[in-house]
Amino acid sequence: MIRVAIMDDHPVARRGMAQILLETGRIELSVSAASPSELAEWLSAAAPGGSPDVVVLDLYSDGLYSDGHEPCMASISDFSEMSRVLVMSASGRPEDVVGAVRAGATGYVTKHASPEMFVSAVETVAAGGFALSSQLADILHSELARSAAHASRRRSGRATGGELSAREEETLGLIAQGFTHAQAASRMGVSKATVDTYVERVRAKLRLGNKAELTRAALARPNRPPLP
Amino acid sequence: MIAEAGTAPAEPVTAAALTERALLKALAWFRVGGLVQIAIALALNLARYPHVGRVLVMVGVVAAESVVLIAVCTARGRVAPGWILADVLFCASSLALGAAMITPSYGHSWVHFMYPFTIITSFGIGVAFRRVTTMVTVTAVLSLSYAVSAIVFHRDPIWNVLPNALSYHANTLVAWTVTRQLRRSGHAADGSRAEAIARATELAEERERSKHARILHDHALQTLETIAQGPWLADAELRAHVGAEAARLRALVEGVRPDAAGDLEAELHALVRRLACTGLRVTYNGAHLRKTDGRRTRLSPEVSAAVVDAAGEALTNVAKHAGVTTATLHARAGNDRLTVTVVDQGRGFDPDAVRDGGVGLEISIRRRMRDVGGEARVESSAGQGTCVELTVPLASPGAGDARSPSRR
Repeated sequence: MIRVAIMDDHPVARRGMAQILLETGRIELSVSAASPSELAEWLSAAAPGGSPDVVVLDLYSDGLYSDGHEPCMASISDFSEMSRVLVMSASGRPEDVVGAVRAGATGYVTKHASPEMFVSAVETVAAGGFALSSQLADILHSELARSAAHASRRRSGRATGGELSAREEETLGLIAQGFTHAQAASRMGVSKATVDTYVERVRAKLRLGNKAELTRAALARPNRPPLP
Repeated sequence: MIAEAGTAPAEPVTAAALTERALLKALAWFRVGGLVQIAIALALNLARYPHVGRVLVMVGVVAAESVVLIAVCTARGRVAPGWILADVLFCASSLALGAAMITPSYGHSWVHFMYPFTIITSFGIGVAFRRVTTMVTVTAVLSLSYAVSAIVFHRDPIWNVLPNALSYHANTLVAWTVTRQLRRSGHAADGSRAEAIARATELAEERERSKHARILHDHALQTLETIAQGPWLADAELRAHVGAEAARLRALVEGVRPDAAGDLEAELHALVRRLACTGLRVTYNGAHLRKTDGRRTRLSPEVSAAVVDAAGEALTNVAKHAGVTTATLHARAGNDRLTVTVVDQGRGFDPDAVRDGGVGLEISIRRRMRDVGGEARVESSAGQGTCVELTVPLASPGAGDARSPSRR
């Protein structure tokens, strides 16, 4: 049984997500929280073996760290220290998507995704993988290609997190078109395991080089309650 | 000038207009300087002139002419080339006249006060004429007039006349160069300001739009989408309708005007909505299109429509034959072409087998794409889903929409 915690300030959305997960019969809902602080409280009160495998977070939630208009990237990095974070957001904006992955999310699903996509993302994340939906792949592909072009123009000394290799870009492109990992693998002439590795590498490259910014942001944050 | 009344002006004064006014002021002051110079020369030398009365009359005329010139130019707000030309002719003739009247009894050509006057006021020539050849020619009128009158009436030696005559050209050249620079800065300033205003307007509109978008997004849209996907609505048709409305709202909120005809992205969004009504949920991945806004307009409406139609056929085929309820629509504009792919994980078909859906689809889509100079490729195998890839060349920048390939 996969244990999942949901955090979203929209009650109907929470209900919908819970319904979809419970229907599978393979997933149990540990907690359904309306704000990051509520979730943090629950997690600190939980028994040691009881922490969830996956935390599904909404990006724009009224909470301690935000007023509902700023994406709570800080929550993502906080919770990703204890569990694996899957961001389920109504926003599909590239900045949000890339920012969430950089902050530590192991997957990003938009709310108008199909229930099947949501469930498969939860299962992928629970198993330790990077839930790369076709939408996420498309956004990452276009965003990373663009920032690579900018970086090469600017020639700045800042570490931008590494550029994607040609194969990794190709993988992203194929997944963005809707192919499964297996199909992408056969199109590229490699094994599925290789494709999985490429996907993991993409995620690692996104996180790389952003630690400094996260640290700076963390230091700038006022009065956060300590998390366990 | 109405713009300078006490109330706020309807339009801000451009930097270009301000430059012209500044140049005009400079011209006026140069004129004043020239007249002052004449006054001083007269005060010191009047007793020596052979025809005092005529000299005074001429000075009066010259002064009046200056006043008229400045008044006319002020009324126009700028230094008017036509009037400057007239002024130059006037000055040239008064140079000659003045030289005739003041033929010195001793060899001092500087009694001839019109020379310094015209040197000082030649500034106007550099300001008025933008093309350097015109400016030099007009200056030459003046310098030649001086040279001729100095040689003929004053018997000035050439080695004295030449540098004096060249001073005119030096003067006007400097004036011309500085004026050109000033005018360019004025233009640049205006350009920057217009751009800044446009950007600010855009930003304000964008902020307004995202404020509304956020509100719709966070509440109505989420609720609609949840309802469309959950089991709460028993009526499948109603659920599909709610799904379609959610898709429309999503398109609106994400910045695509839903009814912009000929806009590829908008039409693809509309296609997705139409199919949502039939129960097929299409994931539209158009991040690449969205970032290259300029490219959208490089597709002629014909080509755009063909692509959308072909994609629509492919998607309808999925809805009818693939046996799945989801598909992915991906669009990407590369440097020289646009690629749209439709991928589903349905039951697929064997391309070699003669089948109603498969073969007909391929032929019809291929023809549709070939008609606009593009191509289509269909890949499928049993149990492995289907991939339909549509490509069209993008017009090169500058060729624009006029260049649409001929139909066969």
